Amino acid sequence: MELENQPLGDMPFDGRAEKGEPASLRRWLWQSYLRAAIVPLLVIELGFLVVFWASSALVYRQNIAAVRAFSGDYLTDVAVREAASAANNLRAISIAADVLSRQTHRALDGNYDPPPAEKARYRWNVDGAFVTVRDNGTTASFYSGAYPIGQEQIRKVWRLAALDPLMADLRDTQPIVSSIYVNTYDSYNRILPYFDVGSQYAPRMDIRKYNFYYDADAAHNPNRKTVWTDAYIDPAGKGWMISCISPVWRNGKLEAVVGLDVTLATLVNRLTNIALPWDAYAMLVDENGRIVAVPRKGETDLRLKELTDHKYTESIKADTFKPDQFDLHNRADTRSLALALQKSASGRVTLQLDSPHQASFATIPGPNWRLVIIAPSREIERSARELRIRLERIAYFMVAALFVFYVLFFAFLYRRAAALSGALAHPLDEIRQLLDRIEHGRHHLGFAGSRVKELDEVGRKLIATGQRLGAAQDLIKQQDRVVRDALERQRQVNEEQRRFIQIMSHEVRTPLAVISSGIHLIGRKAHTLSAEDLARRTDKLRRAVQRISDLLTKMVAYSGLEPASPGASPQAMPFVALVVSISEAAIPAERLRLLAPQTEDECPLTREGATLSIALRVALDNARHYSPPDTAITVAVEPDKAELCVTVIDQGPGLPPEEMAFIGQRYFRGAAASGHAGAGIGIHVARMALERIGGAFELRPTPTGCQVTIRIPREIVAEGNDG
Amino acid sequence: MAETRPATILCIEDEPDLLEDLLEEIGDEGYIALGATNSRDALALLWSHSVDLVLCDQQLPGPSGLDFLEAAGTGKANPVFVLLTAYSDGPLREKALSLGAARVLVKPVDYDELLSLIRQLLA
Repeated sequence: MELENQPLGDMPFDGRAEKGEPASLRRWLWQSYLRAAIVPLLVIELGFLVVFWASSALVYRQNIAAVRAFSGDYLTDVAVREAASAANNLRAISIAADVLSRQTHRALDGNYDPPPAEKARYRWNVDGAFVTVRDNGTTASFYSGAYPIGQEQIRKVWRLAALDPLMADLRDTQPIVSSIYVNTYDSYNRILPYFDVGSQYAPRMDIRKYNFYYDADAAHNPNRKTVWTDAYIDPAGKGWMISCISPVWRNGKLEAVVGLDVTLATLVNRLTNIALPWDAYAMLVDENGRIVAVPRKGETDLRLKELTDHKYTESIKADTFKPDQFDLHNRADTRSLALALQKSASGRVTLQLDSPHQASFATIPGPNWRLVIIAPSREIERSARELRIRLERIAYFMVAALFVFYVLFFAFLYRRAAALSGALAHPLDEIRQLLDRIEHGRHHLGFAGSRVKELDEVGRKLIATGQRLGAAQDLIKQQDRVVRDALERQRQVNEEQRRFIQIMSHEVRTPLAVISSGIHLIGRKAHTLSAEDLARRTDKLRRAVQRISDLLTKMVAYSGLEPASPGASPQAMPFVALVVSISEAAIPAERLRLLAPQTEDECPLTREGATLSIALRVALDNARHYSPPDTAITVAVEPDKAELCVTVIDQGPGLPPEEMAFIGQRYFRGAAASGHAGAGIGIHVARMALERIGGAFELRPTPTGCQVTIRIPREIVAEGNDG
Repeated sequence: MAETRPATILCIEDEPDLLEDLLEEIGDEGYIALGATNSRDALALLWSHSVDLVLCDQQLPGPSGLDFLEAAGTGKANPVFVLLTAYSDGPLREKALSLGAARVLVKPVDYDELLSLIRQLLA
């Protein structure tokens, strides 16, 4: 697989790393936080907002419906109540008119003659009208010149003067009544309060042409009851008004019509004074759908100007009624109201004026008028709308608060991610450093620990792993050293073997060369050699053969130096005697100089006679071979408290400093050994044998040659015990 | 016609018996045989005689055969050099040849072959 050859640091740890650059721990945590937090937060909060707005809209609609129902009911109740109140007032006026009609009938039947002071107020004017010219706090009187005025007419004036007290009482008890009057069929008018009728009325005014008279005649009022007129301009100068009129029938003839006037201004004031909520207002509509009275609030909605005042530039000579714009049937925006008024005595309807309006109405019995209360829908719905606005503001505030909350929350999450990434990254980085150190062979590690349990465990296990790896590495190193030492020893052994083979080759080949040369010469000169010459040559051959034989014998003897078998007990021998014996056998007597104790008591016995013999013979052979033939060789036996010593001193070439480190190594032969038979194993074998028993074979140069010291530990020497 | 001078062969061998045989064999062949048992004596003979060929043992007391070869190469004399050795290792042979030795012979040497080689080298 390709990854097997890929460096560990380049290997992706998962498939994700292959798709893109790995993210930092802080970014990864932050993104995880975002993914984990933003979705539920948005879903929940947005859902909450949607529910809140939906419920707010539902509540608003229900509030609107409830307010509309409540306002409609309430305004209808108010209309009914105010209509009843108005009906009472109007009925009182109607009763007053009826009373005045009856009293007028009696006055006409009577024979009242006013006092002279009363009569003195009357004058004939130039147009033939008989009028009052002075106010005495009572009525004014006007007898039109349209009819001939005789004594009978004058007596009618005097008789009707009897009504003045009644008229005064009626006016006092009916505060909304602006004037009270009696009109006769022959255009006589008696009216309270007083005003200058001579100048106000047309001199030949025909009263029968005015609605406040003919509305009560037989043609218009066949039932001869008290009736109300439409609004009209008062000829008496009181402006727009309506009248409650009652006929006075006498002997089957309409003798007169009495009336009580109510100005529209009075009605408007009364309507205005009705306390209504929601900026509502009330207006009066007659049974034909014509507006009787409307306050100022209604003028704007209905786009009309109420006719309360009138500027009298001349006398009113005929009926003057309100224009068609006061007729609800003639207006598109009020036609639905007019139809509703026709259909029912009370109820409510929605109007679309400049804006939606609610209209509630009730019937005023008597004149059969309608009291209509109109309220703008926006005022009715104001509280609900304000509630909705407040709820919307709350919603916007909640959105803003949520936004601020999200900002703060995500800032908190960001800081939290940073803190958490730091808490994770620090131990991770520490773990990475641990791995780096382990990778570089440093196994004595430390870990500060982590608040995260898993990371703490990983770090501590890494420490333990590092320690185990360190121990394993130490063991490997130790084993490596052992192996290397073994290899080095093996190399040394190989080198020794190679050197041995070379030496053996040299040591064998040299006498072989002598033998070969001698054989060749003998063969070539056999017929010319003398017996003496032949003996000399064969002696050379024998020496060469002996040399090879000695070499092989020595090799066999040295190679037999093996540890003594367990249980074997060498025989104890006198140390000094053994040294003397070996020395005398190895060194000619003329060269040997022995320095040994004379009594055996001073020298102990030794069981290592064989080792001593090998070592001492090596030392003596070297002394004999490498020192001039005429020089002495000294052998000194020196007892010591701790060990036994024997020293061999020669006067040979000594030991070159450069060879000191190699002397004693197996098969090493110094430069001085050239020309001497030998395999370079003598000193090596001697030293090895002595060291095996705890002794030593020491060489050191002297000013005149070389000194060899052989040391044998005293512990192994058994005093007087021959085993 | 001038008489031809016999070639002078210097034999260097620390083994006296072998040196004696070499000198006898070479002298019997008509060469002037000079003998030395160490390098110092051999150098004295080399510089004092007109030596044509040197038979030198490698293992000598003091400077070895190769040391002698190097020392001899620095002088005016330029004899043919044959190294005799009881060692048979390759590196010694290569070093000797690199220093100018004509042949490296391993003991024991067959005298017929040795004399034949001497004749060949001095021809």
